[in-house]
Amino acid sequence: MALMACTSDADPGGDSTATAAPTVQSGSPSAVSEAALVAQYEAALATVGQSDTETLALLAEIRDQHRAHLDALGGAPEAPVPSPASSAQTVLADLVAAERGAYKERVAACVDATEPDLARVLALIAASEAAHVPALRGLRSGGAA
Amino acid sequence: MTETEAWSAVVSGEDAAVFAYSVAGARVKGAARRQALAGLDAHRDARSKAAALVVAAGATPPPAAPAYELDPDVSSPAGARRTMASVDNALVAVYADAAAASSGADRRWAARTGADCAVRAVQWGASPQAFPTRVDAS
Repeated sequence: MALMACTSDADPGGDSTATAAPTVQSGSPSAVSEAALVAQYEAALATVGQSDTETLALLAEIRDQHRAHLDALGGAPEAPVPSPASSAQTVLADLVAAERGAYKERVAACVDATEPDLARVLALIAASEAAHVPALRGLRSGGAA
Repeated sequence: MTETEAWSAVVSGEDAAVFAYSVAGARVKGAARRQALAGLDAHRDARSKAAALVVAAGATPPPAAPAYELDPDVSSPAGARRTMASVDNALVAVYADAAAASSGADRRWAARTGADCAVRAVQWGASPQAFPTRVDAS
């Protein structure tokens, strides 16, 4: 049985601009999520004691990585910084939960991505966010919090 | 990069990781040794799965090299950890290329397996990486 190939010649009223969509679109759900993560890390940095330099340094480093993810995804409006949590322990537990959720969301968005370049970027961001979990856990087990 | 090329690159990267874990894993003790053995198993399994994807595409998986160049200080416990972290982090981009070249369940596997590599690298003491950020085609 032979399969017939569709011929684009017969395509009526083909809109050539439809194929010119950008690889990344500002304000996508993934970008909005990255903006929220940046804000969550800003709030966390305000909660951690100034003497806890190890924790402050790691949180600032991870916040900057989320900013890089946000840029790679085309940007999103700045998210409001949430009110600080009561304790540094709670802050770290919340960040771990947020990174886990972000990882799952990025993998799902990667699978759904129609453009290979976007799938690649989302796979890289998913890997980065998965690796933030043991980095944050290292702080908790190290007694830094 | 075609899908077959991308999975072939995963096979080669995993061969290098299996070699590095075999050498470096013998240089650490206790919990780190168990962690290295678990990582070695994960890399062997991933190599096997990627090779099957190459075969399914009608191609032949690339052969493993007899040996791979490792950091000279792999024989110290700290150097062994750095070596394993380094091969894991290097694999993240290889899996991202495979995710870009594939679709559906295979792409999901590539994204998750690449993330597993990034997690192991941090567990070996590497700093977490941002990994992106090129949106343009390579």
